[in-house]
Amino acid sequence: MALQYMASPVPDRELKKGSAELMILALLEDRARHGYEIGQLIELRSRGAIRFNVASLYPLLYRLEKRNWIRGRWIEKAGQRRRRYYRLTASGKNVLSKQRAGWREFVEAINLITGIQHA
Amino acid sequence: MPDFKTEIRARLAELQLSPVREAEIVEELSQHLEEEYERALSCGASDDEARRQVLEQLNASDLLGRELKHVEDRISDQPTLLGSERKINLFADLLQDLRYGVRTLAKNPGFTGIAVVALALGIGANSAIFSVVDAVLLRPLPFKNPTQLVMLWENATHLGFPRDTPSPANFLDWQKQAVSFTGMAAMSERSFNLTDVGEPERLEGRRVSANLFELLGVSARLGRTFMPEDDKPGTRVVLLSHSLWQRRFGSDPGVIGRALTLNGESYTVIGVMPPFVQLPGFENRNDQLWVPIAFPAEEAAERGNHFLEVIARLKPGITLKQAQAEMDTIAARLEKQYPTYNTRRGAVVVPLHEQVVGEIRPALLILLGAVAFVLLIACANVANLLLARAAVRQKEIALRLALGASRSRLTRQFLTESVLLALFGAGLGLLLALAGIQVLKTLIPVTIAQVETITIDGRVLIFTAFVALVTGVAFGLVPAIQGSNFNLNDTLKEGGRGSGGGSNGNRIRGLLVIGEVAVSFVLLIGAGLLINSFLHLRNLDPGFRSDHLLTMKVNLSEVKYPDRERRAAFFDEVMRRVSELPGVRSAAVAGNLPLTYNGDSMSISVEGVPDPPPGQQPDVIFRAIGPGYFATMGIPIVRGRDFTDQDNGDSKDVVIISEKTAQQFWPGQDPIGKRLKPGSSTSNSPWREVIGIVKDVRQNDFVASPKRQMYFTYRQLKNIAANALVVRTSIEPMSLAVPVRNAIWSVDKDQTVADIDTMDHIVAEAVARQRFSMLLLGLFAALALLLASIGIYGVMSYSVAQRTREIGIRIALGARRADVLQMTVKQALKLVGVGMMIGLAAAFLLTRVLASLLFGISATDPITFTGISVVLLAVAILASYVPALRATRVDPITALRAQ
Repeated sequence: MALQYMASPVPDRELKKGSAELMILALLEDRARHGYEIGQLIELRSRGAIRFNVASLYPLLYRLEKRNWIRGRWIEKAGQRRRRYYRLTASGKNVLSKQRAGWREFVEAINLITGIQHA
Repeated sequence: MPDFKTEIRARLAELQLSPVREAEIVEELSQHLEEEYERALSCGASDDEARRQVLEQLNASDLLGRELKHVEDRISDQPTLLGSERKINLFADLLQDLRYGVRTLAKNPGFTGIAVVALALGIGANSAIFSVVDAVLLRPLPFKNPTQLVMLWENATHLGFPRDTPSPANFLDWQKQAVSFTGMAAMSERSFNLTDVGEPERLEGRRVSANLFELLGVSARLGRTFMPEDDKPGTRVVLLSHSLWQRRFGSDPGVIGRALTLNGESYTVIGVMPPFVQLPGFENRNDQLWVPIAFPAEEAAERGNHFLEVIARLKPGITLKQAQAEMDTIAARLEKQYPTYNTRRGAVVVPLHEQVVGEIRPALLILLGAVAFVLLIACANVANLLLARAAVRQKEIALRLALGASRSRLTRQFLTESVLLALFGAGLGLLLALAGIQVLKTLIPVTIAQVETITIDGRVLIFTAFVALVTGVAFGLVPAIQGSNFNLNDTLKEGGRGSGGGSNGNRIRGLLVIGEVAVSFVLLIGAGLLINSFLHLRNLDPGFRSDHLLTMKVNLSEVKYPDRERRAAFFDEVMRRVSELPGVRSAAVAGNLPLTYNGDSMSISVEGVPDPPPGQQPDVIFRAIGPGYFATMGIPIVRGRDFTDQDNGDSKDVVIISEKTAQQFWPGQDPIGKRLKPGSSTSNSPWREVIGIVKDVRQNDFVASPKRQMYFTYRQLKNIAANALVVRTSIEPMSLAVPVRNAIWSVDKDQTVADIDTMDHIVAEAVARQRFSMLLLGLFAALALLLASIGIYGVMSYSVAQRTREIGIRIALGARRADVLQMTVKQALKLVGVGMMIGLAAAFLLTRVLASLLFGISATDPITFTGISVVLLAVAILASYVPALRATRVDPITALRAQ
């Protein structure tokens, strides 16, 4: 069953927020994407385990944009209506690499404690 | 496809985002939802299911709104893109423009401050003058149907009185014969000594026909007005004015029915009038009480004695012309019937309003025009500032146009800003007007009606708001059109050079300066003419020395002092005591001091000269005085001698005449020893021998040249008493006011002493109307000059700043600083010169309206015109010199690098 992201039982709000930010930044690392695509990719890559609600995805995108980590631009492509594409900014890249390292450490620490091993 | 946009918009509403941002979010989110919807359909969901699934996302407990609240600003700071595709909403646009306007103005406090102050001066002056014009000229008189009211005068133009006061017998005939009027009432000035309530006091009042108040439509505030049965000799009832009732009777309602001692006789108070009841008349006076006119039989028969003021109400449907025609007929009939008195005497009907305001109207209208001019100059200044700012804001404008703002929308935005400026200016202006009105009230001659009612009321507020709107549009329109009309390509090409609105903007700025100079030139000429004319007036020789003279009215009660012996005894004793006071050089008894009274003249006949036919006897002003009057007043005796104490009822009757009288009746002869008598040579009054000739005195009117005059000693007059005291002092005259009054009261404690004043002040009051016009027009002209010089300064500063590069190159190429200075000043003078030429032409045309206010100079007085030109030129040079000096300090290297 798909987990409504914001309704996840994980209690720590900051943790969730941080992980969601990390996911978005990571998805934008190699190319610019629009909001629907970001939502789809998260759902797809988590094999349906994590899904973003439109009401939480976009506020998050706007927050990241405001922090100047990502930047959205309206782009028109021939034969399509214009869409807003988000790409990673330089400072976003910086944040991404730091958060990635932080998460890795965090997950490793949890694993050490809980004894969960990767397959 | 369901309309997700509406759904999203509904959830964003309470966030109050800026419209542009909201549109973006709606677009982005709706795209997302549409794709979700399509995906759901492709997974086999029905339309409704798909729609429900998609909307569920939005509905999750207001998530969108809550989340966005943390991220999004309410209406954002960034300038809204005008002319974007959203629907036109005039009101929302206006609010947005206002908010944006306030912000932009607040960001430029210097610009805003100067503009608001300039506008406040202009608008404030307009509000203040309008409040006067409104109270005095526009507001209907406080009577019922005031347009039906007229005043009736005798027309004695041949004697120099085109509006002469009617005689009682003539009035009574008019009243009986005329059918054009619903009613006709007479009034006659009368002063009263009020003696039994505290300090004795002299009160101005009038005897009036019983029907007067009913005719005017004014009823009593307390008690009643007069009834026909009051209008009989011997009825002693009195109506009090509101101010007298407040002042002397503490607003006591129990005053009705109370007895007052007036002129030694007991009167019963029957009513109190409402506040501000000013009866119209020959002069606007402030009556304090009224009694019935109640003509005694002998007075009712009096046809040669002219002292009434007559007011009447036209019957509905009767025009002024018809009434005049009827009065002409009646006057012609009376002329035939009573040739001795009425030869060449007509009757004239004057609308009441014209009677009341006629004298001050030209001055007020000219002042209203002058303040409009001042406002025009202020507008030109602000327009100049806005133009300069529009040049600075070119990039902003270009950006907006490029982003799709429509030009009309931009124009609207600029206009909103200028109207906003004007409204701020109006607000500050109203405060200035409030202060100005207080000053104005002290300057307005007291003879002008309705002065007390001048105030900032709803009408003045409406006028001010209207003026603010009109000026806002007027000075904002040119820069707005100019600002929104420029060529986008050129601006982009000129890039950041800030070439300032291009040559077109410079041309408009130049035109505005020319206009300002022209308008201020006209105002300055007007003020110059009035000042010059006023100086002429003040330099007129009144015929006496007005300095160090203390004067006061001492009206004797006819009951207490019924004959000349008792009057003489009283005055002799007063003279003796006053003369002993330290600081008194001399004192004299007088009758109606110069410039305080406008009547008392009679025709005379000369011994040995046949009487001229009726209506052609020359009139001579007469005054009853005591010995020492000429010496005290400083009126030179040209020939003969002054009256002495020996000229009294037992000695031969004598008279002193003025030079003009001497020339009229005894040209080329010595009049001393010759004899004259009042009236025709067959009248039974005694012949009077001329014993002296004195210089002409400006007796009744300061401006007109003196008329023929003669003086009697009051000791030889049975019916005419002296009524004033004049004291020449060696110290400040007013410092003797109390000692002199106490000296009088030590002789008779009930004697009233009124109108204590210096002769200097009386002379100043005689030209109060002229001084009022001169001071105000002078003030406005000075304001105009100041604003115009600020305008010149601003334009030259801007021009120098703009030409920094050019000036730098010139200096680099070897131009001397003096050359640069000269070049810049010359540029300014070119504009000023053109402005002055236009102003000169306009002044020649416009100052003609001033002609009626001028004295002693023509409306095209060359000295004034030359003087004002020099002043304006000097100010213009000064205003352009400072920026020019700045130009010479341009450092060529900096100037070139800066570009």
